[in-house]
Amino acid sequence: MTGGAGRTPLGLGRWRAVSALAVSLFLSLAMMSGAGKLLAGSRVPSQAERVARGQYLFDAAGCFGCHTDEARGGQRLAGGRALTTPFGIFYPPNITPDPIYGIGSWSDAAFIRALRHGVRADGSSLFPAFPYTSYTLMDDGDILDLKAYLMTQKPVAQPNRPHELKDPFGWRVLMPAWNLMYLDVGPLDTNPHQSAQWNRGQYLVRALGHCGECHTPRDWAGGLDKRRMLAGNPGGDGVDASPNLTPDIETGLGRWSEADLSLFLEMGLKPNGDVVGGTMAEVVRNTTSQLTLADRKAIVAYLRSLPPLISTLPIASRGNAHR
Amino acid sequence: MALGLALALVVALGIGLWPGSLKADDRAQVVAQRQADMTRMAAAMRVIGRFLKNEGATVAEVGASAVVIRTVATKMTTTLFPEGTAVGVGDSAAKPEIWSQWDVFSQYAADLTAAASRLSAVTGAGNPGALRAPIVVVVRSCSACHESFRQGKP
Repeated sequence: MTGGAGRTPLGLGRWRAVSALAVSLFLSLAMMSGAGKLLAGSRVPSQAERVARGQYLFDAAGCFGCHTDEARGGQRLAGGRALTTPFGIFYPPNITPDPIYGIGSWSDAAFIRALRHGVRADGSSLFPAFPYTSYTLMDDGDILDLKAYLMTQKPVAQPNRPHELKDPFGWRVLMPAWNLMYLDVGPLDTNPHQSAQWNRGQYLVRALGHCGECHTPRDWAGGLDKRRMLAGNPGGDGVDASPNLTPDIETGLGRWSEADLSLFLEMGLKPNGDVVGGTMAEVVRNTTSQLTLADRKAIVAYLRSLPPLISTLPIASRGNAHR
Repeated sequence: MALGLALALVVALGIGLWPGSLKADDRAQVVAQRQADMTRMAAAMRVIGRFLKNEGATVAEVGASAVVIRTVATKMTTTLFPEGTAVGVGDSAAKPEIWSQWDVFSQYAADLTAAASRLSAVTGAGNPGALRAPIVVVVRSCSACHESFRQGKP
């Protein structure tokens, strides 16, 4: 304290300056790290809120359809129906919280790694029948909220059924090389030149909805032809071809109005009076009909902004409505 | 009920539609007739779509469309889907599972009939705001059947 009277004004000023700098630096870092939302008035979401968000994301990501063998009365999320592809038959695994057969013992980091990089908790590679090439674009918060919801589901002690794949497509050891060729690791960047609605639509279409997995043609190794993103895929879902979603007038959705697209996503009714069938009926039932109106409009805004690409596939809204 | 079934049997036999008894030409003809009826139903659904999108369709037009849909739906399990008219016959998109899961298919047809009847009844009240819910049931009935039993058209 000696001599403090003489140093206090200057020292206090320095202290205030340093404090102000520190607070300013903290605020800047906090804003950059996302904690800015909290400082700006939001708060840490409760577990119940995270689970509720996770349920919405679960629907938007279409998890139920592949991981539940609904047609054969399978238990919810305990393993899916056979997915027939040119590479063989995939059987989607048990994603209930069962600690042995499901994902109950997976850490948050392991769950993020699975969706971001296509790697299982045991370190082995996933096959891209699980669309991690799209889910990689999700942000960490959404991935963890999705996990929070999955952990609330009923655990089912049901072992996974091994895939039945043709060589060499069943060799997991090849997947890191495949990923080098085809996996663009996310998350998805926001496009600052586009509106918030467009960016939301892009996120719903490319990341959560993984629309490109069916609607984009694939090459010999099963990788997406990114030059023809959403331009339609003769192989489609393995059963039916998936039509061109770009706004090409003659072969895509160019003649569909915004109201046409929105109504289709809501209930599956096409502008020619036909009603959706096949796997897309399941997508409408479990996913797009469950979205908010704002999210459906965001999808429409994004789809209509795509560059029109010409497809040789049948057009969704023409021809006989029924056969 | 028994009398109704007997009459349906007599009608089916009379027009040669008893499952498995159709000749190739007859099967193609049935598929063509089915397509014509389904196209009528699609036209009715298109009117409903225009109503939902506020494109000028009236409550009365939705009511008339509901009657068309109900009429076609009631034919699904009698004359429109005889066995032997699956994919491969003409332009048919009907999966063979229709006949191996006839109970399920019949339930879908009954659901659609009931949904169309409900929509028709609601249109009678003339309240546009009351139509959306029964319309959703009609569309979902169609979609459920297409999801399970229609091939080649997502």
